[in-house]
Amino acid sequence: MEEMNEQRLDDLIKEALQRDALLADINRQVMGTLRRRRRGSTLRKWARLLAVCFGIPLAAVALVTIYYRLAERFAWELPISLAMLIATVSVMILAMRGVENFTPREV
Amino acid sequence: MEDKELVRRILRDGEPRLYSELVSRHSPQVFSRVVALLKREELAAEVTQQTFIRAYEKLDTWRGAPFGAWVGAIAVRLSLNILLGEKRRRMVPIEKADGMEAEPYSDEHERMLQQMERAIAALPQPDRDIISLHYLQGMTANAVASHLGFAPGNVLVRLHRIRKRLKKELENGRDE
Repeated sequence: MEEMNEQRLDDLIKEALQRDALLADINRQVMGTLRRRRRGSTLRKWARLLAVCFGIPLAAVALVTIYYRLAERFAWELPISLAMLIATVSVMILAMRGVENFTPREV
Repeated sequence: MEDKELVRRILRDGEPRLYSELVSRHSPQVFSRVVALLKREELAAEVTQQTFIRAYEKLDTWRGAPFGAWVGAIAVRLSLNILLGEKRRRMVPIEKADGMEAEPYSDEHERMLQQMERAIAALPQPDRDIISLHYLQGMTANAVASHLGFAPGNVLVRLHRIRKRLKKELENGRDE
């Protein structure tokens, strides 16, 4: 078997240590990315929760008010009632989609 | 703690901190495999990173096969995608592309490097500190001695012993 010379041994030790440092850096980068993504995902979940809790009821109230005013002003009761119904059902479906995968544990 | 238990806890608690342990355990093999395919360390480091990020995202699909093999398969897939993408873009061998000199690579060298990494990892912490300061930071024996609070003669003797031990481990590995 070929005897390893001293210079080759030194080079190999140095390269192995550099590789070790590189792998430690990869580990740091991976964990940094995962932490950032986790923070982003938590923020998005809270934003969605706030939108569901406040945004959707607000939208529903606004829709109902607008249609009520229109109905009052133009007296188109049936078409406006139907439109109101469709809009309200849409808002309810949106709200249900918003909360279906939500669990307080994941926030 | 075994890989399976670590994965179970990461999935249960949704806490990525424990994942660092899995990355430390398997990144040397994954990196080595990717370097063997791509022949470029910088790109290999990037692919290794992407591999572990992707593995984390798909952790719930892991079915208990050896974790190293599973994550290795992801790494190989990513590497092959890169190679195919580069081949399509350039239509010339990657090694011959302008301004992209492939780093010299050999399986034998890579194998020895892995043995050396294992041998260094098996050294006691003070010895690892000594060689790290000497070889990585380029410190002389005197500087290492004053940095670590040893006598200069002591550091020289220890460096000599460490090199001898590493050489022996490496030669034992080659004989196997």
